[in-house]
Amino acid sequence: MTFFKASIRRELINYHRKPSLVLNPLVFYGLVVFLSVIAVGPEKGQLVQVAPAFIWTAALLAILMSADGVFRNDYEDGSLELVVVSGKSLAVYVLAKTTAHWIVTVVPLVLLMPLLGITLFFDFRSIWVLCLGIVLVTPTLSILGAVGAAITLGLPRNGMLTFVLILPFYVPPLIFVTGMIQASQLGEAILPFVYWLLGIFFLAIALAPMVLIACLRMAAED
Amino acid sequence: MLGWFHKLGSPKLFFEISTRWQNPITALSVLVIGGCAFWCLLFAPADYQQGHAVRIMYIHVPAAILAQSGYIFMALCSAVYLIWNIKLADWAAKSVAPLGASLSFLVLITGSIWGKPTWGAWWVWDARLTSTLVLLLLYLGMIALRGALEEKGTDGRACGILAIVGLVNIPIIKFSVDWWFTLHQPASFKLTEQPAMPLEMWLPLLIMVIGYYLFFFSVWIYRIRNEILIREKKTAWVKSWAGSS
Repeated sequence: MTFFKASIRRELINYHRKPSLVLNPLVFYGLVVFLSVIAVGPEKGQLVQVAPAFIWTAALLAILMSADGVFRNDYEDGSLELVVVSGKSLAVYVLAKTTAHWIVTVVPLVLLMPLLGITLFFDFRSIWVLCLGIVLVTPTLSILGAVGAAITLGLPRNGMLTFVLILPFYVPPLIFVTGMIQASQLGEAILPFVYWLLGIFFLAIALAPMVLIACLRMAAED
Repeated sequence: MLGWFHKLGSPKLFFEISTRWQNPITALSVLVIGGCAFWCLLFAPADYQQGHAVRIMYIHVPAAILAQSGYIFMALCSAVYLIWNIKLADWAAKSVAPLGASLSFLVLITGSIWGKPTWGAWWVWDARLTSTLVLLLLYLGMIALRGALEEKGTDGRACGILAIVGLVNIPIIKFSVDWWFTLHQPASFKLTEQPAMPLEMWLPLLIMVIGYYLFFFSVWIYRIRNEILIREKKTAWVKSWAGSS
C-alpha cells in the first residue's frame, strides 16, 4: 500500500511539474468538440442530438493521446528498469500509474462538462448523465490506453500506432455509454448500462495488469 | 511426450514436413472448393424467400468461420511463442494476420452484397457486422504493429500479447447475435443441434467450410515456408536447399 501511495505521489508531482501534460489533452478535447460543432453547424435542434457524439469521440482521443505517454518518461530515464528489478509489485506500479493518469485527465474533463454542456444547449439532467457516463467509462479507457502505451513502448513513431491498436478496443465501452445517454434521453432506466460499464471496468482492471506487466518487463529487457 | 512438439518447433524440420504436405493440401482445397462451388451454385435449392441470393451464403459463412478461427489460431500460436519461446510459432502467427484480414474483408464484402437484396441495405450498424468490422481492424492493427516491430528489429512478443488481448472480441462476435436482438440471423451451425436449414443446403455449406479450412492452411503453409526461408537464409540448410532446387 505504501508503494502504491508513493508511486501515486510521484506521478502527481511529475504532472504538477509539467502542466502541459495536463493542459494539452484538455485543450485538444475542447478543440475537437469545437471543430465538430463548426462542421455540423450551430443549429440548436441538430446540435442537441449529435453533440454527445462529439463529446465521446473527443474524450476517447484526448485520453488515448495522453495515455500514450504514461510509461514513456520512466522508460526513457531508466526508472522503469529500476522498478522492474526492485522486486516491488509491478501490478501496484501500473495501477498507480493509471490511477494518477485518470485523476489528472478525467477530473478536468468532468469539471469542464457543465461549461461545455451549456454551450451545446444541454439541459441540466443531460449534463448530469454525461458526467456520470464520463466517470463510469473513462477508467476503462485509461487502462486500455495504458495497455496500448505499454505495447508500443520503445517503438519509433508510435503516436499513430497506439491509436490504430487500441481504438478497436474502445468500441464496447463506447457502445454502452452511448446506450446510457440514449436511454436517459428517452426517459428509460440507465441502471442496466451502469452495470454493464462497471462490468467492463472490472474485467479490464482484472486482466489488464497482467498484460501491462508482461509488456513492461519486455520493454525493460531491451 | 512433448517431443514431437519441440521437434516441430525446429524451422528446418517443419520445412521438410511441410514440403510433403503443401501440394496435397493445395490440390485438395482447389478440388473441394471448386467441386462444391458447382454443387452450391447449380444444384443446391434456392431459398423460398430469398431466391438465388441465398447462394452467396456458401462464400460468406465459411469466410466468417475462417476469419474467426484464423484469429483463434493466431492467438494460440502467439501463446505458444510467449510460453515456450518457440520462434516458429511467432512466424506462424505473423503468417496468419494478412490472411485473416483478407478473409474478414471478404466476409464484410459478401455480407453487404447479400444484404442489399435481402435487407434492402448495403450496410446496417448491427452488432455482428460491427464486431466483424472490429475483427478486421484488429487484424490490421496486428499487421501495423508487426511492421513497426520489424522496423526496430525486435521480435513479435508485443504482437503476441496484443493477439491474446484481442481474443476478447471473438466471443463478442459469436454471441452478439444471441445477446442483442439484431437483424443478422443466428449461427448456421451448432454442435448440439440439427441445423435449421434442409440437408440439401447445409451439407454443401459444411463441405465448403472444410474446403475453406484446407484453403486457409494451404495458403498459410506457403506463407510460413516463405517466412522460414527469409529468416533462415544465412543457414547452411537453406543454402543447400536453394542450390538443389
